[in-house]
Amino acid sequence: MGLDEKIIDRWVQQGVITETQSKRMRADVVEARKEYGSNRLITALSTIGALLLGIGAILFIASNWQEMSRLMKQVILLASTFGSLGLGYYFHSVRRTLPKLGSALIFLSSLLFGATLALLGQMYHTPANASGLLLVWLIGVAPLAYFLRSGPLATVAGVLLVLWAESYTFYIRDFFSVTTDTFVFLPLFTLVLGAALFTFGGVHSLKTEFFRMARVYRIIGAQVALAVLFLFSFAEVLRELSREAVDPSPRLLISLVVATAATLLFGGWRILSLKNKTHFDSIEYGVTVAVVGLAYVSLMADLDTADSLAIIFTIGLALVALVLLWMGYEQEDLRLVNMGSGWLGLLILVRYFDFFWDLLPRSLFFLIGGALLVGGGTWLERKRRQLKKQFTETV
Amino acid sequence: MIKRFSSHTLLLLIALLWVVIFGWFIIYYERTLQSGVEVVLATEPIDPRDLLRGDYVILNYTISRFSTSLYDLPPRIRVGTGLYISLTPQDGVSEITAVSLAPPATLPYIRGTVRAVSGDSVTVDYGIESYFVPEGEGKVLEQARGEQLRVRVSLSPNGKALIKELLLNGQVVSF
Repeated sequence: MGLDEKIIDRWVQQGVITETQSKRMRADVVEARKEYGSNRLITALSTIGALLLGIGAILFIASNWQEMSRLMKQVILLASTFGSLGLGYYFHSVRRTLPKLGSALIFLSSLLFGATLALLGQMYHTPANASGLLLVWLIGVAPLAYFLRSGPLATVAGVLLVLWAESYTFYIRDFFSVTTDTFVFLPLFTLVLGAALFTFGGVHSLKTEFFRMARVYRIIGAQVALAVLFLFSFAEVLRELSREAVDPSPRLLISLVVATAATLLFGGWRILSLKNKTHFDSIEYGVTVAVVGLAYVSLMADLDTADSLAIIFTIGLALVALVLLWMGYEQEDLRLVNMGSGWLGLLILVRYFDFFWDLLPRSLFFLIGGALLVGGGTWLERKRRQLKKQFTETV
Repeated sequence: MIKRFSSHTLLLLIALLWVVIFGWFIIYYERTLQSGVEVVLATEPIDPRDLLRGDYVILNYTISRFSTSLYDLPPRIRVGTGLYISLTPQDGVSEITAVSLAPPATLPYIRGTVRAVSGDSVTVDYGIESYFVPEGEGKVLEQARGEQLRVRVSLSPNGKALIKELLLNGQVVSF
């Protein structure tokens, strides 16, 4: 029995509602649950269908690349992109009969926008992964995301923002080969960038209508930052980064200053602007500032300091993951719990390998490791299910 | 009603922004190709790459790498610095005659960005280092190593370069 049913029972016992009213309410609760499940299925099917349509359009052009004139290719690409946007908007906001399909088509149009840009670049033999292309894609998608307050579009915008900032700062010609000699600063900048995107999301959370977008930006920012902290927890990585003594380019310095200042100032401004501040907000800001500080600690990495710095980053990552777990539990946010437990689990696993690989006989190493994994996994899954049930009931 | 009207207007504005972006892209590139100043650059293919976008060949131009000490440039050039390279045809191929930080007074010149610095030698990107070929056909160009490979490039009035065609031993390469 869920919390809703328990409350209804209590209301009947207290005489707040009659038995007939309680029956009607129970039926509505069951109906609402069914509707929720069915909505998710429709969204999933619509999105997959829209994506398949997009892939089909691109593949059609790709397979007839040589046969088609440049103009024909451009017409097909533009018609697919604008057709998808127009139809999506029609179903979502004009006719309003198929909003899920409409959202899926609009999401597809945001992807086709980028694909069209990349293929136009290919037609003119310009580097298609250059930062300019990512920026133009972002400029095209971001207004759509804000206009519709859409989570999936905010995801595209957030990912594009990170990729653009990286490619712009490091003159990355394509993401398969980093071409500049300042790449040793890439993890440092990425860590600050993650914190900046997290803060950017925090600023969005000040307005109720941007809550969904705020959450997306914060999750992407947090995941990016945690991934770099994880990378820095390896002494080998820090040693590798210390080998190349290169001067940061002016663009890198400017990007670092902008990302750091944005994190500190906007984060502080958010705290001051919050009307109903909780201790979580202050802790969140404190952790973000600490993460930015840790990013700059990585500059101290050299052959002598790598081992001790790796320990600092390991502790840092564990603390951030624990804070996420705690906040997720307190705020009844399963996503935060999953994120915190995921990174903590990965960290424990990796450190187990680091410490015991040479110390234990191989058979014992795998036996203990396996037992720990199975035990830990079972415990985590049970705890996660427990929390999920608890959070769902509260909602 | 007002809200609905404004949401339609907003979507139309976004669609208009997309039209401007695509339109500018296509018109600018077509104009550069049709009416830009043509130069021929010597190059060699580095390797065909198989990425998500299909096959492309990386072109390494003879003007991509040069010593800064040969030209009137500041002693320390950093990655990301924009350079303007004046070109003059010599034996059918354009060669560097001057390099400056500001656009030169006379055409033709090509605009580039410093990608790497090693001592006084710099590697410059001109945005024409990728040549897209149909899947699996990049080998033809890869095997052209040691042969005479030229690229006919069209330059816009501000030095932006676009590949017009590839010439292998004087013949236009078509796929």
